Amino acid sequence: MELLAQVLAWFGDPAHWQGTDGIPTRVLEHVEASGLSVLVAATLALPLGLAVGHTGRGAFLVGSIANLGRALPSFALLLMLIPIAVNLRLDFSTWPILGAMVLLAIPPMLTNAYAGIRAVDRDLVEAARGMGLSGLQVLLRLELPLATPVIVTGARLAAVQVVATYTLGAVAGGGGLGRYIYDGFATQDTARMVAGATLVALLAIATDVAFGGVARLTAPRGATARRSLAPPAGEPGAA
Amino acid sequence: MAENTLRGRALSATDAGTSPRARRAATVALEHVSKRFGDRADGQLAVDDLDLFVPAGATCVLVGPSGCGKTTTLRMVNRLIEPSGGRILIDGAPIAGRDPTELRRGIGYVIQQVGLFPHQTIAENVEVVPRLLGWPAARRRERVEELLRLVGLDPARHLRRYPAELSGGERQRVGVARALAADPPLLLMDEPFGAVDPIVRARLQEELLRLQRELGKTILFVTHDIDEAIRMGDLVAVMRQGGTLAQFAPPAELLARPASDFVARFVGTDRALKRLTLRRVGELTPASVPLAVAGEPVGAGRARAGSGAPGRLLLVDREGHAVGWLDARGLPDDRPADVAAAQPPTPLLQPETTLRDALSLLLDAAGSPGIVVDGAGRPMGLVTVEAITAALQDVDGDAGPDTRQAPPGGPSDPSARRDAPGAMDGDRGRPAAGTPLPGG
Ligand SMILES: Nc1ncnc2c1ncn2[C@@H]1O[C@H](COP(=O)(O)OP(=O)(O)OP(=O)(O)O)[C@@H](O)[C@H]1O
Ligand SMILES: [Mg+2]
Repeated sequence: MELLAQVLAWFGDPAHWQGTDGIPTRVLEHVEASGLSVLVAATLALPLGLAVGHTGRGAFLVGSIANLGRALPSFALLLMLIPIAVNLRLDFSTWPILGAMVLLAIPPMLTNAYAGIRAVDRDLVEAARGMGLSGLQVLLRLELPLATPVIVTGARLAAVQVVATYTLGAVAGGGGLGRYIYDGFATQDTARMVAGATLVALLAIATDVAFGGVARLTAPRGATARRSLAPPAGEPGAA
Repeated sequence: MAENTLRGRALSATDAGTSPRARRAATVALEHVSKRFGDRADGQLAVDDLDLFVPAGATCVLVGPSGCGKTTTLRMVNRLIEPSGGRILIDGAPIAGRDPTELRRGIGYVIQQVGLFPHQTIAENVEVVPRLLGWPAARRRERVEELLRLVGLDPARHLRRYPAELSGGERQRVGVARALAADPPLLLMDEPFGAVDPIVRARLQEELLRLQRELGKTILFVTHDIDEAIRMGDLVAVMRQGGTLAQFAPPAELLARPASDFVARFVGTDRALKRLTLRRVGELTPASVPLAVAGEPVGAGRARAGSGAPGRLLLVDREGHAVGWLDARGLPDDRPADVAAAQPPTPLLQPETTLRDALSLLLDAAGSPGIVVDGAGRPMGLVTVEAITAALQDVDGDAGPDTRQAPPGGPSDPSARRDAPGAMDGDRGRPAAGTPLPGG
């Protein structure tokens, strides 16, 4: 209970809401870095996943990348990337953690893009081809819209993981909410550590909720229609 | 055979896009077409040296047991599958060199699973090909409404709906509308009515026949149901395991002269009855019927019947509608023909009734001759079981007339045809409803 009071006091201190180590700045750093990682990962993973799903060729590649991604812990990746960054004379407080986050975000987006396209009914694809849609038209007008919910789920998983894991950035001297945890640990300031962890959890939840909204907005209309059919249509008093 | 007047003219997407009514139908020729799927270890052919010629405007049904290569054959025509040997010509031009997507935009395609895009409205689904062909929005919109009406759907109700909000039968109709959207001269239909119940299927079949009378497309139609093949086809190609052609003939010939035991078994032991489904009462010459006007003296009817003094007179009212059978034996000439003493005028047959339905009705009526009535219910003559069996004999002689030709006496109206016996059932023992009885 004493800890809770300390944490609340920490949040209540106006000094913690301003400056380069203030909460708004750290949240912004965290969001920026996570967003950038997810975007970079998406530009790599989505085209590959869509292409493999559409053509059916290279499925093993998707499988291997996904398994590799699951097997390698982000912390190990980060530690591997730091010497590389140092060798390349890159800023080692930024690039290694971004690289690790990109690699973390790729597997869920890649597998979901692939699986989402594959899950589109083959009869639909055949009907579309039989009507004279080109391969690209089949992908863009049929497969992609129908796979969107699965693809968005992949991005949602990736984004939540990245937001939670970017905390590690502080280890290599980067910014973000991980700073509170890392610095709190270094100075034995438990309230600061707990406040940092709480902020990370809240941001992860907010990310999840935001992607839930995206999922609703991008779901194909016909699928919603199917669900709305379930209760007898037009029944008065159903609402 | 109706040789195509447009033969040799290649169909192209631009044609289909700019002058939808310029060509109504295409010819299709398969020459020594074979297909071997590479991954088959036993080296068996899916389609083996198939030769078919479908004249413009004809419906050719591919029928055969499961796995005999029907779908493979169909999909070679729109190049979803490439043949391993032989060639396919549409309107005399080989399709092998054509751009597949452009080729397919000129061919309607309907599959059993329908394959409507679930995320698009009915309107968007129907206009897929017109959109690919670059039709302007106003023209697409107009075409969609026209097509929905053509397949019996109300545009106002269905345009904005999604496929999941339609019944199976409605979805099949939309599938047909979508295939017809750019008015292609050729339709490929792979078990289009396979996924609906028998009643809906019968109605969809009837509607496709009606549509086909209007549109005169060339149709390649796949089914494994021999009854559907006989009903829908101008030509029926019976295929057997291994992708060979067992017989290629009009339905009547297939039934009268199956080329092999396999075909005979495939069409079934009730061949003779099936042949009767191909012919209609209107094609028979009905025997003349002794008429008596209700209320007039019996003698007048006898006199009209002439010599032979028949035992039974068919009573008609003053408008000429059949109202009953009167047993006139022993009745004096001056006795008025009394409707109350008459038996109901059954069985009633329409010119559109198939001989099979007619035979069934006659057997039900224990040998009483059937009264052929015109659309207004006025008797045209009598048909007996013997006349029907005799008709079966002359089917043997020639291939028989085309089933789908409307019989004399009006275009065949399936609902009227089916409803007629039903209406009588509902009124058994009473003259048909709507027939006014003089003084009754
Ligand atoms: N893509 C494919 N790869 C390998 N073999 C195939 C392929 N498609 C079809 N076959 C084989 O070719 C043969 C003919 O198949 P097809 O689908 O044409 O039969 P069908 O007559 O349409 O049968 P059904 O009435 O069951 O639909 C079958 O033995 C089938 O297993
Ligand atoms: Mg098939």
